[in-house]
Amino acid sequence: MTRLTVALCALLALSTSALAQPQPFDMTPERPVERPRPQRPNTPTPPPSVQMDEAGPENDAEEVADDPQPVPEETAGELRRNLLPSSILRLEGENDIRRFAFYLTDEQAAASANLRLGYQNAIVVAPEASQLAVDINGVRVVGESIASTNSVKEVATDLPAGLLQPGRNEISFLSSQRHRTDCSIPSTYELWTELDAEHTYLTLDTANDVSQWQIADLKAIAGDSDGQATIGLVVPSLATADVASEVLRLAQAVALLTNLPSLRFEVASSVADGALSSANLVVVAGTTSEVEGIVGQNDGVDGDAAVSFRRLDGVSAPALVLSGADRSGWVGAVEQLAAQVGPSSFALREALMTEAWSLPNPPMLYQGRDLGFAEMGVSSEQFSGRRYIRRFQFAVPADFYAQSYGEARILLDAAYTDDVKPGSLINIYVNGNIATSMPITTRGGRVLRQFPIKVTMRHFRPGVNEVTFEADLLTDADEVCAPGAATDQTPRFALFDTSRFSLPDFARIAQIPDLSAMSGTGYPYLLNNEPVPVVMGRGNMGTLSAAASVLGRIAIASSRIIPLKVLSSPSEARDRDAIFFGTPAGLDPSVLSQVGINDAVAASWAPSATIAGGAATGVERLDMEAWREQVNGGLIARTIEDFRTWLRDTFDISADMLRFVPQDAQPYAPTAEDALIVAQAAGPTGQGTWTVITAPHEAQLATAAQNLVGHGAWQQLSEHLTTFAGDGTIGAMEISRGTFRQTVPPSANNYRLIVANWLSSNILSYSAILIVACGFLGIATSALLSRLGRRR
Amino acid sequence: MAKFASALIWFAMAICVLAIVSLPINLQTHLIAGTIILVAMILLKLTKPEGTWRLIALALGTAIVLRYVYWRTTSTLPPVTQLENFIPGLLLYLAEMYSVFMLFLSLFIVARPLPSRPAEFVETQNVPTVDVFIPTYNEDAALLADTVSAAIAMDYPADKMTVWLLDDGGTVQKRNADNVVDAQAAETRYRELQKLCDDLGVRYLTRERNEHAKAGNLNNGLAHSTGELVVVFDADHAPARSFLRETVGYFAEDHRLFLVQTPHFFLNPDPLEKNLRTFEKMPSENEMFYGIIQRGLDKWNAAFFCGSAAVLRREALLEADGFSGVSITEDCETAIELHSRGWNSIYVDKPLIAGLQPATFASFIGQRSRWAQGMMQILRFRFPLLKRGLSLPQRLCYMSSTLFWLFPFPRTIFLFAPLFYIFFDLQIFTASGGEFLAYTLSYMLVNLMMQNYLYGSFRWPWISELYEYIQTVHLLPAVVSVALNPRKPTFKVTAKDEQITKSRLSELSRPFFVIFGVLLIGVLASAWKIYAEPYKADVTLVVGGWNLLNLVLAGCALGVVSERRERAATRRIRISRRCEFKIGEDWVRGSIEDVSVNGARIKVNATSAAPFEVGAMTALRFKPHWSDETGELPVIVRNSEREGNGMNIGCSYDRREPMHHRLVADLVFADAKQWSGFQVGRRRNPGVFIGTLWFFQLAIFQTFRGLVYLFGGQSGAREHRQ
Repeated sequence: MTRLTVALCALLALSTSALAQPQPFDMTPERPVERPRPQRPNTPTPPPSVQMDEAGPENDAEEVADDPQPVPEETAGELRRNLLPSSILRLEGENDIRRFAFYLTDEQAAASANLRLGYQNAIVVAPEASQLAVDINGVRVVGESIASTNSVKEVATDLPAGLLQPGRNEISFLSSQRHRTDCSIPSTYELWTELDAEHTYLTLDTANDVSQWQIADLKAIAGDSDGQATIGLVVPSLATADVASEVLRLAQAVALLTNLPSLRFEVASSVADGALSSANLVVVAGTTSEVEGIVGQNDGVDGDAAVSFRRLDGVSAPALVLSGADRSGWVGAVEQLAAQVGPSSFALREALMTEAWSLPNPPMLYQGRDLGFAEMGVSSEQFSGRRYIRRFQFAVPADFYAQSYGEARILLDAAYTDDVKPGSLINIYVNGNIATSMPITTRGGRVLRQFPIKVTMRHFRPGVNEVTFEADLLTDADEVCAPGAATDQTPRFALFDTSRFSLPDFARIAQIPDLSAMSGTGYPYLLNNEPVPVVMGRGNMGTLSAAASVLGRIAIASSRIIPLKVLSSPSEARDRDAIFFGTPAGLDPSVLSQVGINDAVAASWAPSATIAGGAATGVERLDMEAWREQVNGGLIARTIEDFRTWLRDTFDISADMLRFVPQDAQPYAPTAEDALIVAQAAGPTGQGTWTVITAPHEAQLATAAQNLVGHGAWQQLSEHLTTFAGDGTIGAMEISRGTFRQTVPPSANNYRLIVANWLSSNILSYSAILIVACGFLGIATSALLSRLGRRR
Repeated sequence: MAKFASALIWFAMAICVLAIVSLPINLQTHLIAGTIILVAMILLKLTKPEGTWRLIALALGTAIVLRYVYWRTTSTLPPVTQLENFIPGLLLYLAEMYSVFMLFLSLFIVARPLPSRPAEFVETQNVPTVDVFIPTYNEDAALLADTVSAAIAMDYPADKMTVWLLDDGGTVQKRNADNVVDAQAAETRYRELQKLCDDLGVRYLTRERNEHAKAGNLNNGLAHSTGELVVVFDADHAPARSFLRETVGYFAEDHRLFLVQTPHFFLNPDPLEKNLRTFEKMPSENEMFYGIIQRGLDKWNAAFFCGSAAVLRREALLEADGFSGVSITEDCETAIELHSRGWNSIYVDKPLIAGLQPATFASFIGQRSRWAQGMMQILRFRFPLLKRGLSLPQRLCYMSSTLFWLFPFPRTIFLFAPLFYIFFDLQIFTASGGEFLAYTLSYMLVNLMMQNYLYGSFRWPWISELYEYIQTVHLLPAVVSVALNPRKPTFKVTAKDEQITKSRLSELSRPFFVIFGVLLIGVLASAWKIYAEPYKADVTLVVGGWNLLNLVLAGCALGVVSERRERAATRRIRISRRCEFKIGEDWVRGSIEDVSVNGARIKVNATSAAPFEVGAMTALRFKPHWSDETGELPVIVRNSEREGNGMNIGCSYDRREPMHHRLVADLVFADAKQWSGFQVGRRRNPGVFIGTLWFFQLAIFQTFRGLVYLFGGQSGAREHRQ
């Protein structure tokens, strides 16, 4: 893998550099720089063996690959296979890279394939110095200079036969962009190229015969051109029997067996009026007779728990049919499906699965550990622009409790040339928040070896975290910006993959509530082996769809199917981890007040615009801080204000940090802008964790929940209560008084770190404890001194 | 049992504090906790707490210091991969840790110093026999006459006390020196002193060879005498009358007592005090040691022998084969040896001798070099931490006393560390400006507060740093050489009787000006850096501020090495004593207002007499303490002026006979209370804030004075002196 990457990098460097520059940096003399291998574009390189192997519980794709079908079927049509995880894939700045994985069935992989690419770029991107490249399975299939400022430019490339693999394939989009005229760092923010999902897809010359599909082929389901995928769950029994629990279990299994970034469920009891026409997969479950009513009489449906794929009339998407002679029969088929997911018991994960939208899968760090950049998919490279960016991901467990005190480190192996002036910056962002800004202070080039950069853990959250490494490089040449300087290809910075990300041992204790733990890793629901109560008010299909979507997403976050049972009253859930779906009217008021929602206000929660696409209502919330900054006041007031500002800027200290214990928060009163509220709190007995997902209306609950599980929104779930407004703004209420739940065996060191974190967020308590302890020490010293030594 | 329980509780509390301190809390929490603790300490200090409250305040300070240590250790060291930063960074770290370690050792020592002991007066019968040793090497006869006179005037049964002048300047070896001039001088000295001793009725003793310097000389005295107790006075340390009465009694109380040490009180200023003119108002340097550290050592039975003004038990000395002479600080070495043999020591916190200290910067440095080298030898040859027989507190006490003399290393590092950054851009302390401010500032403030807490009225803020700095420049090579060659240093007698007859720069002043210049360039360079490299202005500001502080110290030191012309050689002590003054042939009643070892000021009730001519020879008579007969002391009038009905006469003594020396000694040295009074008058704690302001204005003034001496030469110096 590494050799290959190095070779590719070398190729890239060669192809983009005007002159063959001697490599100014070589951190690894023991490893000779590899000459680019002569690669015939027609010879596919075997897909690199990726960390995926040990990553997930499902390795079915691998099994399929073991038994390829050599002869493609008769060409009977063209399959358009969408690729992008979102409607637009934006490549920004001077260098950017996006990688993810997609799955193909045997048949699809064997078909002759054509890659379509549609993109548009910013007008300031200099075409002669900017490239867009696409690699599939490590082979460069597109190398294109970026030149489409006016409209979406389409590029089509026939992929060499054998390049696409049955099962898992990796695709990378790489951009290298330079500004036409400007050499400043701010100008690099104007550089972008957008890949349009509408025009970016694979055309596979295949009939796509779904009847041959195995369960593992579910991974080959692709989303719409906006990256979203809809799965229609048709369960006829729903009309008559209470099978909601089974439906939700089925939804989780399907969510885990597909490989989709944003997955929403539409639950229905029948195929009616084309509701399923837009679905990307239809799942039909029921007794043989029920299924026959939908699918039509066919072979293969009989038998006791049958799982099969077929096509429905009038529905473009493949259909997964689960049937059995009676209820227990089709429930058995659901279990067959669930069995494919992997062991249902909880096991520590090596990595979280993000490959549908980002590769490599972030390794999970349960304790202090050093991760090489190479391990996280960052390869050595040199850079000639002015703002170098590289991103990587890692994951921490739900009981990560070090936001207040912790500091991780990046041990940087890098180098910069004499041209780089002091005052250049190395910035580290965590989940989009600046974590460190370290100026380069020395003149003359330098080779940094394992140079430590502290990264505050303040913005770490349970689950996947993204770290952005950014180097803002100032040079004299850029200041002058002579013609051609912007596109000069002389390397001035190099990052080496021997750099490491070093996470120290961190405090581990779960906080209740913490929505980010649920969104990140499914905590605490993933730990349940007993069925989790799912309470749906006066549930109809809308609520059930919402529940299916959310639980499907939780299952993905947990990498397991969470056992559950649907209840209609909260009484059984008193001392359990439970999830509630419904409108305020449909839920017991005590449930709302339990999770900190003002139930009286919630009862009259006004309807509002629909969650998606609703225009901002323009009501700005008044901000006292903003006012404070505008008011000047007298000299003393101004001096105090200056001091306050200085404290905040220098030390990040504000008055509300000065507290002994967290303040009790008022129950949240839903406003007209809120389209959806997700709130969490400990249950009434203090034992379980209750999560409530509520919206003013049933219909809104379904749509809002389906938007919630979209990649962007789901990651925003945090703190104790998160609101989603119709215009897309998201608000989070801080955790006030939470409870803690032990997650790891007690150890002194862990307690020490937990205490450190708690005291770091309750500053005055630390001072108080220290002073009291010193007081006692003074008294003890006094007592001891009056007994030791001479006393006269 | 109670002791064990309270030790257990103390350990539990200490671990508790350590656990809290070593929590990896964030910067904000530390900043707030540090500020709150600082405020608490200030409030506590304003109420001048004693006892437990004082210890609580110290515990609070310790917590902040420990937090600093934790932070410094865990997150500020440069990465090992960058050796150019790591090595100086590690040195700075070690220097800081040394300072912290020494702070903790001194906290242990002076946690609760023993209060001054009540005097143990002895009955006149049944007192032990005492040999008084006055070792001399090159002091002149007049000085020795004063000391010997004061010694024989001590209030003690004459048959129980023998005074010995132990002369190492008139040994056979010296008298037979190859250099004829030297041999002649030794011979003259031998005769002169023998005569002096005969006249005063004390024993003169010299020996064959000058082996083992002062220790050998004292051992020679031991060999020739038999008293139960041995008293040692340096040649320039004259005892008060009450010396023996205040000290001998303790030996009867404790049969394992080997030492009673008393403080050294100096009548003349040291060069710093003289050149900065602080002698009259600021506590002397050694008062911190004698005023509080020895009392702290006394608590742990570790008060040690300081070479003079002490009473020792012969039995103990003989057990250890006399005074030890391996190192050139025989005093401390002897004390370690005897402590390790289970003997005890006590310290009497009352000045009972008055002496002279080096008057020039060069001889001051010479004396300190000897102490530093001797202590290093002790550290090397008698490593106190592992010395068998010492109790744990004693080991710690001696470690503190010896390790103290390593200060030239950290002081040098603190001096030059900022320059690494300012001149070479080395990052030897990896922290942002904010972190530096939050941790280092709180540490420094707390450190100043703690110093002030512990030593406030004995040592003003920044004075320790100044003393360490002025010594460092020349002590560093001395300490390094003794480390390389531990047996090489030899005992050199400190000259204390030099006079500075005109204002001049000390012969050792050059390095101070060079350092000042370099630091000044550093200040300019950091100002330029702040302007030219705004992206690291925060760190530059902090480091530049540190360098500025060094510059202030270095500037103040310029004043120390610019020696003022000396006016009064020794300090005048206010007394009030009846006398009669000879005017013409009449004896007129008067009173002696103040005295020094050279002269006196007398007020006479002479309504009609005309003023004296300067240089007139006349006499003074008064009743000495030892007899009822008046004694007559010839004087030379230096000035006289009328004042109302009386006349103020300044005169210098004209000592021609031994009796004259005895009378002078009686005037100057008899009453120890006047010394205590003078000391107490200087003991006032200005507090950290006022003390710092005062020091800064002093430093600025002294910087100019030093520069004027350097550039202005004599004319400038004279102008400035006025």
